Amino acid sequence: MSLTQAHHAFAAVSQEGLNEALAAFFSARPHYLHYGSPPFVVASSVTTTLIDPIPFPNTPGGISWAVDFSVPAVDLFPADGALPPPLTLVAGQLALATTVDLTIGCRLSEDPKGRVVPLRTALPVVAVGHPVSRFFSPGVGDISFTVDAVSAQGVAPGSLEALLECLVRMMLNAFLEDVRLPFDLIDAGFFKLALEEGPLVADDQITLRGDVS
Amino acid sequence: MTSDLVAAVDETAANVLLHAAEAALGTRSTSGSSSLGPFGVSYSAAVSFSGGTVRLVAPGTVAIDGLRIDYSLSLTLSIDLSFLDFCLPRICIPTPFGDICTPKICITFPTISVPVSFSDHAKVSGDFGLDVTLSSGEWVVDVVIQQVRAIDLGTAATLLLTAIGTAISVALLAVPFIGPLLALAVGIITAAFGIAEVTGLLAAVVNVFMAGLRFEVYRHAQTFAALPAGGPFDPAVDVTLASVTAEVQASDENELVLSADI
Repeated sequence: MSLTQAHHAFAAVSQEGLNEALAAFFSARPHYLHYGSPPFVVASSVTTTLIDPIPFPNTPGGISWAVDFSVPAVDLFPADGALPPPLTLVAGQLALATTVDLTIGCRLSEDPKGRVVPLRTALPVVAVGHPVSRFFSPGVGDISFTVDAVSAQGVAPGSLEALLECLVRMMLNAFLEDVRLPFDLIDAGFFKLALEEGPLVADDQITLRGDVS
Repeated sequence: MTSDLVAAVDETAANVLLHAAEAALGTRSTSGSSSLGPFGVSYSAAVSFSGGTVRLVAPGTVAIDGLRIDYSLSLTLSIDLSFLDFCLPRICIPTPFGDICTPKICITFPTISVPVSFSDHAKVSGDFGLDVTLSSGEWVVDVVIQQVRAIDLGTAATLLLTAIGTAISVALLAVPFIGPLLALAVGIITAAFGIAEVTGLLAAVVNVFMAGLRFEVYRHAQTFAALPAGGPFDPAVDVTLASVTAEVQASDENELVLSADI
């Protein structure tokens, strides 16, 4: 079977290529992985994103917090190994593994100065999602990723696990929306792709098909 | 092992890329010399390429049929008219006062330059290979001529032969003392070459442009901004293409495949 099939042009990024591209993205723009309020994050920059503390009554300055993700490792269908239940990977999907460091500023009891100490937990999570594309004109388009489900293992009780999984899914989707791989990267600039099919996930690669102009 | 990035086009899309490469090549020009029968010819020529139909042949041949070459020729024929040289012998007429003689008169004819301008097109079929280079920080993929299979000059040789004949007649009219010899000169000169020689001249000029002909189908910076800078906290995301390869892959349809590793 030809690569282009019923179309005239084909472009694909392999699992390794996708992880290389994501590494390049987060290396250049690490602030998409690091969020928090003072004192953990004091200003928005290339490396971090400053967000207000969580306001709460009778807590001067609010509750300080931080969330840090490791660079996600993507596994394109078919899965390289078993996923944590209940996750499964089917054609068209990708798995994404990352570690979420959740930190809160724990206020010291009876401390008149209101000092806080960081309390941190590292939560390995695996997510399943799918790529989505935007196409504007030949050669102008991109793909990004949407997370459908998250599994955080070893959290009890189950209700806390569900809460954390929902929280992480929302946060992942929030920053993945800004992680966009342009067509020009995927086709290595060989042509200006007019997207007709894709993105599809199969055989450890994401494929696009269409015409050229 | 799968490459990080793979881009492929079928023959239909390869035609699109080729025609874009032809347009990008623009007009090429050269000058040189050749011969037309016994006469020397200097020429300057400008050509442009368009059209043609791509056939992809694994593992690395891009065959192009019917590649159109539009050319404009400026020929200058150098014609030595010394074959017309003649002398009027000395003639003496006896008279009572002695012989009256005419001087011996010799007429020598110069070498004349005959300019001819001519434009037409040819169609060439040839086989091209793939050439991948990394030059000055840019990956370049060219299709490079390997062999010319056929040159179709159409009716150009006949038209050029006529144009040359006309140009010669005009040029000879300006030669002093040639009046009575004009028809003879035209006849001798035009008989010195024919359609075969003109065809050979045109083919030689076309081949000058075909030699080493390459069309650039891909050029890309080795390190490039996959994402441009997007704000104070979003610098450009640079990606480096560590390797690039190009080949023709055969399956149920042949495809030109470019592979790259990040």
